[in-house]
Amino acid sequence: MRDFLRFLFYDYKAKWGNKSTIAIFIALPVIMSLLMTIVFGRGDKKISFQPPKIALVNRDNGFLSKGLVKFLTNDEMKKEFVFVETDYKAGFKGMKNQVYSAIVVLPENFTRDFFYEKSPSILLIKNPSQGIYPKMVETMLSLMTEGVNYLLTYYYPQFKEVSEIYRAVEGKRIILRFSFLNFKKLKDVGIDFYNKSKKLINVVKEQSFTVDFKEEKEKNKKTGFIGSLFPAYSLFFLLFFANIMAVSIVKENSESISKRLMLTGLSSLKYLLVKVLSSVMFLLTISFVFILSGYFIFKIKTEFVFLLIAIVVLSCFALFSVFFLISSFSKNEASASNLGMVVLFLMGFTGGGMIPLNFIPSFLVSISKIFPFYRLNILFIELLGNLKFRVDYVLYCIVFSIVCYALGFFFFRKNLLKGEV
Amino acid sequence: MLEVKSLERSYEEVKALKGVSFKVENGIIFGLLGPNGAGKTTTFKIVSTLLNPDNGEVFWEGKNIFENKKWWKKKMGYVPQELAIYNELTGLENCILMAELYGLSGSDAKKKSVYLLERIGLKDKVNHKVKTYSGGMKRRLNLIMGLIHNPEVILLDEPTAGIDVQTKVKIYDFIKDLVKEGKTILYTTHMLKEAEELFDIVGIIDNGVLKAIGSVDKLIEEYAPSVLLELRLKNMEKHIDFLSSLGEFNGETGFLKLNVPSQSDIAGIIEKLNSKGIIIENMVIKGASLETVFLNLTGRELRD
Repeated sequence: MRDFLRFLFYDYKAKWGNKSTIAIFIALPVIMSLLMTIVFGRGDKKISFQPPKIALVNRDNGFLSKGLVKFLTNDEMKKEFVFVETDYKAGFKGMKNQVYSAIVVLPENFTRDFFYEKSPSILLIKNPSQGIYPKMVETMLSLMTEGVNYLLTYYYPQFKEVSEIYRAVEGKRIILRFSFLNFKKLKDVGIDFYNKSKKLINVVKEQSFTVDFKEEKEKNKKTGFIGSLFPAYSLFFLLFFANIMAVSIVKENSESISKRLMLTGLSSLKYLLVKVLSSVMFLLTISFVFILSGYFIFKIKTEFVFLLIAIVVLSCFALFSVFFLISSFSKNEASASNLGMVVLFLMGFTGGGMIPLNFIPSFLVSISKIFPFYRLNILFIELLGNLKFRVDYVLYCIVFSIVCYALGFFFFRKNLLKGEV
Repeated sequence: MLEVKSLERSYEEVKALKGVSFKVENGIIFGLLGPNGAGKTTTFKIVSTLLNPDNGEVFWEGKNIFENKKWWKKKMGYVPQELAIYNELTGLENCILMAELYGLSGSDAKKKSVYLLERIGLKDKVNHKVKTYSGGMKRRLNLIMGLIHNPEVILLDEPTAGIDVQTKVKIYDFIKDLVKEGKTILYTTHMLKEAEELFDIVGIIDNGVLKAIGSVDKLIEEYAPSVLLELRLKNMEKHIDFLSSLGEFNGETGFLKLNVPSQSDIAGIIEKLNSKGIIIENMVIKGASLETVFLNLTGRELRD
């Protein structure tokens, strides 16, 4: 065990040989994020990017949907999204012609559902050629929620008035005079409406809508775009390191370092295990530097620190597994490096490591889902946006890595024992 | 004694070794001499247990090394042809890593590493990263890393490839000292001078076959007792058949290469040529050497 740990220590240490190259690679995600923000944000770091156009189709005649449309199409909103009220046909045509990034449909029963205390359902149709990534959807939905809350606050006195009228009606015997009517039913309706109104008022009260809309937007703007870009670039440059680490195993074989080490009595399994562990440790150290850069330069942070660490560990483990497998069946250093670079760019480009995910067509994204890069990128975006946590993505990455490592160990051992790597 | 018996090994279609056998007494330098691709490194890889032979066995002190791999790895030190070194670590760290992998404790590993580094002339570079070393320094480090666990048998696969004469001399002296300490050295080279200067016993290998084995003197006596004569001739156009019967003759260049049984026979050859009106433009007399032995055994020069 001691020899294993000592070997691990020296192997890890040896990876830090070329410090200037490592420093450049560490700085690149910061530089790339800033450059991309300038390109897409037109020079203003705070402005996210050209706001996407969204077709807004309102099929409801209720006051709530009408108010929401008015709310979403106001000028203030246009900095985030440009909502254009239209009918479904025109919206769909516009989406086909790449005018709209998505269509939002407010259904017929939008207002009515609200009265029955159901969550208002919204239909979102994404343009497959202009990928809308989860962070954008989340922002859109949160704006709609804000709009609804805003409207409820605005209409609060009217709700109160209605409920009071019905409270007054409830106890009156006057209803009995109209004996030809179904008084019982009418009474039930009245009581029902009264109860619903009361609950509604309580709901509105509990919402205590005090968020300053402008402040909220300012907060979003600071970390929104760059917050999703920097983790993607960090992951992308982590790929370079992972490729270099994996190729170095093939290089060591061609230089007979591995053979020499295994003649000391070190088994090929232990040798490969050290290679994997030291590489993952190296990637973790680099990731730690990326996290600090993100925190101090771009103010990217999360409440879920342990989850962040877990995803970082998973990223290092999963990304290295891809290149480990590639190197294991490559004939020499050059072929391992070349094939690694092809996969690196394929994964990086389609997974949002080179350009933002919302610019990548959905068919490319679906290819990217095979590799762990896209899934890890989404995990980071959603974690840093305090959105949902996709356990299925985590499991996929774990299973994917295990398969890659198992195959990688098999091929590497085969080649090492043959002595022909 | 190291005993190699009928080693055979193929790489796909190519037969790299075709039944190589030899014995090496303890405390000598045994060298395998042959051109690139002759089978030297394959033999070494098998003896070091890095490769399994298709057929054949290797014994050290009567024990089969393939059946006692762990034991053999402690007894044997392997110095590969390539520079198998971590360039990003210091010379000392490289040695300590090897020592610790061989099971030496921390302090012993350091002591042994410093001792060997000093002995090979790298005292001033102990704590420098290997990437700052010259080619010769790297070669020397590469050498001592295979000796860190004090092996009885040392396999040196072209340990002086691509280095300057001064470093070569240092390495030769170091190897001779190792032999004085009782180590058994197996050495591969394609350099004749190296073989002549260093080897006690030479094995000439070509195309996976061990052509001959013995001391340099014995090989010369047996396979190259004659003198090699190289002549450049003029006025020889009418006598091509005669010249071709004497030795290897090139009619276009007028170059004649022939073996004569001894120096005293050279005068007779010159007389014969003169009598036919052939003018000797240039003449080189080569005494018996390993090169002649190699030429006679393989039909080609080693540099081919």
